Amino acid sequence: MANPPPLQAAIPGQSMTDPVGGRPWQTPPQYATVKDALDFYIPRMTSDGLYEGLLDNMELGIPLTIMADSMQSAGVLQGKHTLDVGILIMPVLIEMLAYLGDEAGVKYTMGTEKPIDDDKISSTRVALAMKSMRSKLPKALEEKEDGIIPEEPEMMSEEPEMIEDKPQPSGLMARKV
Amino acid sequence: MNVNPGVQAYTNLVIDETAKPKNTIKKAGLLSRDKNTSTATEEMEPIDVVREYVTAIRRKRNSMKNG
Repeated sequence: MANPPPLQAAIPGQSMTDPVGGRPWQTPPQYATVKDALDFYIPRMTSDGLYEGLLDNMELGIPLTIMADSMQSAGVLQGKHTLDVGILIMPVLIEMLAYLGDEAGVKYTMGTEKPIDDDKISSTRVALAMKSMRSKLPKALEEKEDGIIPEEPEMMSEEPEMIEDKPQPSGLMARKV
Repeated sequence: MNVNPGVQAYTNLVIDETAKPKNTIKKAGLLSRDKNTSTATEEMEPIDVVREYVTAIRRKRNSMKNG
């Protein structure tokens, strides 16, 4: 069987070969203002089709900011509104998602928390710094350091006592041991 | 740090949660006009519209949390 062609993706610039106005985002938006866009989104978020899916995603731990961003990006691709209107309505979408989560009693992550502590140095950075320091150390010093390291004493292992199975006396008057 | 402009807009949105929504003032006279003190949504800046929506939803969230 012949090998498949190595590159099956679109050729760079292929998206620009379509005539102008051929894509939904190149046409005038359906909802031009922030208010119109919100009037489109808010009832949809509470509709049966989308509501359950939103709550499922919240339970999966997807941050609300990511969900709101995906929603507005999809709206831009469908030609519902422009990209700047999409960015403007994001705070409302995030807040609305939080409201729906609270209402349903679902635990969610906002996505606005600061996960990285600037004062904390990661273990990877420490390991890299140690590696670079070791490469800078002279060999003699390294040998000396190696000499200092004491050998680990061997642990004395105790063999467990073997319990011999003695034959039990089987007579009627025999004592039990 | 999240560099998404929408998320930055959300985190930097200044919301006064204690402010009460403005109501229309109605005069009692027969020929008096109803005056709306709040600005119409169409005349507001987009960020003000967003702030209004977020404030309203957050107020509902808080009232739900506090019982």
